[in-house]
Amino acid sequence: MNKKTSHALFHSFCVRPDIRFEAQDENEEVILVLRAHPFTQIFWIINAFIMFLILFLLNVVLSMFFNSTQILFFNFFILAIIFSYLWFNFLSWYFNVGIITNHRVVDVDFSSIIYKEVTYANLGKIEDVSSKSAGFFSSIFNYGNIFIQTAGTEVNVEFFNVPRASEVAKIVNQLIHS
Amino acid sequence: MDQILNFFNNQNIISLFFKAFAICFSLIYLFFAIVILKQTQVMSQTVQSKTSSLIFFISLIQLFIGIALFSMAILII
Repeated sequence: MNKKTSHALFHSFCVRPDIRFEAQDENEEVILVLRAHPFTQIFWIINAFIMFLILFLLNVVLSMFFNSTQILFFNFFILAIIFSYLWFNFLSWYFNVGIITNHRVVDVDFSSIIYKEVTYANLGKIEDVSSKSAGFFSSIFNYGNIFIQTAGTEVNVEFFNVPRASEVAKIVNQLIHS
Repeated sequence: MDQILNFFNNQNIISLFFKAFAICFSLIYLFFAIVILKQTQVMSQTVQSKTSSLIFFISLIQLFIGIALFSMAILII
C-alpha cells in the first residue's frame, strides 16, 4: 500500500488524505477516501447548462410582458437557482464518502443533504468484500460498486460508483489480513 | 400612505402578481440557503478537511444572494 498522499480523479480516489471524520480514534489512520467517479456526476452539470440555455431563450419571451427591472430580477433569481442546484449537487457528491482506515470501513451518506447516515464496520468483523462493475461507461472509466459484508446482524457497507473498484477491494482485503 | 395608494392605482395586475411571487419565492430561497448553510456546518463536522472553510464561505455567499434577492423583491420590484 502506497504511503504517499495522492488525490486522483478530482479527489474521488484519495490515498492517505489529510481528512478526519467525526468518530475517528486517536491512533486511527485514514488510508483511503472514496467518492463517486466524476463521470457519474456529469448529468447534473448538463442539466444546469440546459437550464442556463432555457433562461437565455426565455429572455426573448419575457421582454414582451415585463419591464427591465422585473426581467433583471427574474434573471438574477433563475441564476441563483442554477447556482444552488450546482452547489447542492456538489455538496452531495463531496460529502458522500467512503473512508477506509487501518481499523474500520466508514460509509458516510447524506441523502438530500439533510439526512445523515454513517455506517461503521470494523475490519475484524468483515467477512466478504466484493466489487462489481457493469456497463459500458463503468468499463471505460473504471468505476464500480463495492459490497462489504459483515458478520451476522452487523450492517453491511456499500460504496457506489467508486473509481478503481477492484483495487479498493484488494486494499480492504490486504488490511483485513494484515 | 399616498405612496401605497399610488402603488395600487398605477401598477397593473401583472406587476402586482410579479411582486407577490418575487417576495414569496425569494423568501423560500432564503430559507433554503439558511438550511444549506447549517447543513454545510454539520457535514464539515462529519468529514473534516482543509477545504471546509472554503465550502462554508461559498454556502455563505449563497445566503447573501438570498438576502439580496429578498431585498430586491421588497424594495426594487
